[in-house]
Amino acid sequence: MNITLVDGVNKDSKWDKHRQSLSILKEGLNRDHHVDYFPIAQMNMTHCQGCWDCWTKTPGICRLKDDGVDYLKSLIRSDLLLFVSPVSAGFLTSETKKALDRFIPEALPYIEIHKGECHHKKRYSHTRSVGFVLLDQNDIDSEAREIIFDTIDRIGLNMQPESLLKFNLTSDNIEEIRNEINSL
Amino acid sequence: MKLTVFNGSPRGKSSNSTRMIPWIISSEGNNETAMEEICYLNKLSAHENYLKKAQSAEGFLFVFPLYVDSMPGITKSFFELMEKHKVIFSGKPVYFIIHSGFPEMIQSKTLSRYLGYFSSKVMAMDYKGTVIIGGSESLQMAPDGAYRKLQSHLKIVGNSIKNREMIPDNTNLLINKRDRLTAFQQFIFTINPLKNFYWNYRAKQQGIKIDLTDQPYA
Repeated sequence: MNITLVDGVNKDSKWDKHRQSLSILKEGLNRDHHVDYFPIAQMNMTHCQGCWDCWTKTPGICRLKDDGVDYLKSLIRSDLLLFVSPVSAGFLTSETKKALDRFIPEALPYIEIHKGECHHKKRYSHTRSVGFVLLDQNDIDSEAREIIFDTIDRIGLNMQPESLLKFNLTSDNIEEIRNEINSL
Repeated sequence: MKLTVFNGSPRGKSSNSTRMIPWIISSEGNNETAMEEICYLNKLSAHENYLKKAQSAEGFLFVFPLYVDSMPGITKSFFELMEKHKVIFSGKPVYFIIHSGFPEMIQSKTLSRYLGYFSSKVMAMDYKGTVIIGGSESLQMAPDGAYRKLQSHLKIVGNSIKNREMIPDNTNLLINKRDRLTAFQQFIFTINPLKNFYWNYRAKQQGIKIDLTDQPYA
């Protein structure tokens, strides 16, 4: 399986333990799959500027010619787009959010009704699963987790993945998560 | 009240958020609200400087679009900086306006819940409420006169800020009418020329024929 792995850990040393836990997960995934790894905080990738060039001027192509281009190209081949993020300020990190925002060229500007709501049509017929792994070092408040998981459900409505996975990675469930990913 | 306004739109000065801000704080009878210079969060290098402005503020207003089902990344980046400097914000009133290209209020409700959680639980601020505005991308095409109703509803928010009050509970229903589209509205969205009009219009402005469904990386 081709996996696009988005490492949304922010730069500061505060997140070293989270980085370590992600690194163990990544090693495991590398053994079983082809992984395109995108450590967003270490890449030359800026935030989406909201110009809509990728919708109305150069369809599917972002005006920002940075490492985000490789990320977009990886998505087309990917069977699983996996976002891995600690929780900061009660939500997914800004680096994870940056990667989510740079997903916009993957959608068409056109709207369709999906499950009774307006959502953007997909640009490519290619289907993939989408997963989110929260790096839990006993530092995630239950209300924050609930809000994040609700947000992921909404992201699922927009991305319309084959399967939508939500995990909470602690020190003792890494094998469980790997097995679930391997069973896709 | 000395108010610091944060414009969290990735488009910065040329955003729909910029257009809405004077509808909120230039509201009639709102002269007691002194707005400091607007802080544009798309200028990441200015974030530290914005913290200094926040120190002398008595209250805050955030205006930004729903962006991939939550706040824009640049706004989240500022929230993380705020968390590191809680003492600047703690106890001060905060108001949020979130707007979305999607017409339905339901699309923004989870974000609204997060903003309540973030400001009250994470930041210990005095959360005064979140206003949701659907269908905001139409602001790109229509003149101010087409938004008189919205402007009058936003005046209510302006008055709440002036009086340091909660945003009235019914404000979101006044603006959006309901959480979801009616069956008839859903039907309207299935009519191609109507639902695609705005995007085709924007593409036409480029002066060359563009296939918006192009798949460059296929």
